[in-house]
Amino acid sequence: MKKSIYFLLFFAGIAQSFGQKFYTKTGTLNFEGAVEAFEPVRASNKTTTAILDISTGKIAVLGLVKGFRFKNALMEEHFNENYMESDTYPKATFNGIVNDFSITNLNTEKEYTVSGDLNIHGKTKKITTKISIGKEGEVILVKTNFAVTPADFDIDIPSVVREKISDNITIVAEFDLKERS
Amino acid sequence: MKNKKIILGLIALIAIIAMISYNYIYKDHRDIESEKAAYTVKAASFIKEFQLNEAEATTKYLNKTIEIEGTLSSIDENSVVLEELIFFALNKNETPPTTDKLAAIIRIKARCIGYDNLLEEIKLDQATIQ
Repeated sequence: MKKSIYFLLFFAGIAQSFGQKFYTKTGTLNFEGAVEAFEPVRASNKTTTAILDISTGKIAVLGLVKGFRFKNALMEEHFNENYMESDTYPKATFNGIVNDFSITNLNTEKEYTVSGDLNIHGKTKKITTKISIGKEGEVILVKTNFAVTPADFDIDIPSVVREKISDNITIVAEFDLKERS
Repeated sequence: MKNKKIILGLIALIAIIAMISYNYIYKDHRDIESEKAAYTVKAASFIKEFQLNEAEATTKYLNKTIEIEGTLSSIDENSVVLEELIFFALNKNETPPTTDKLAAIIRIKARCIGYDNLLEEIKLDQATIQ
């Protein structure tokens, strides 16, 4: 009898540590890739999934490339067909860990560093960047931004448009995470 | 006289080229709402296709306009979910269904943007409720 209670408690403990996940399906990823061109190269993805495990600080992000919307339809088409090749590589992902993350500090917004694998265009690169994490009510607010280079992910920018597309593409991410029940 | 004609012709040609290239550069986005659906499916079988073979289903449905019929399982500000596993981001001017529609069977037309293996959900955007 006693044994089975311990057994139950043990599993309850496991369930607890697995249960501390906060997530969103409608996170925002914005990117800006223009040199001061006649037209901004800018897109926004509002259907990004992000999951933060607050017991370990592990974070996983998945943005579907087709979900990036441009103001200019032709630019969106070129982004998908020529650069990101989103039919072949439909996902952009990040898997990492927030360094020195602690649950107790959540109530005040705090800056951490996050390191992990960024996968774009089928290529993976290790990155480390700053990330701010805070809590507002029941929602954990996560914000980060970093720069990537198309060449790091084997994305060729043809010379005709090279002057219009920057070597450093800025990606801004914002996630409002809710507890996963 | 002949010169004048040539000049006029050239101007007309340049105007046409300018117009065509303008229309090309600033062409309109796809209008999923008015597009005819490439596939009409039931939610359960749609989910099953992705669960059985994600790559194959992705190739088949990615970027296509699809009409899906299924049970409405949740409603959010700008999104709805059918049968727990199909996520729809609503079209810009689309109003989300009222809560009395929960658990009802509805039809949604949208564009498939891919499979989210973190939450094991299929995602679609520019959704309109039919």
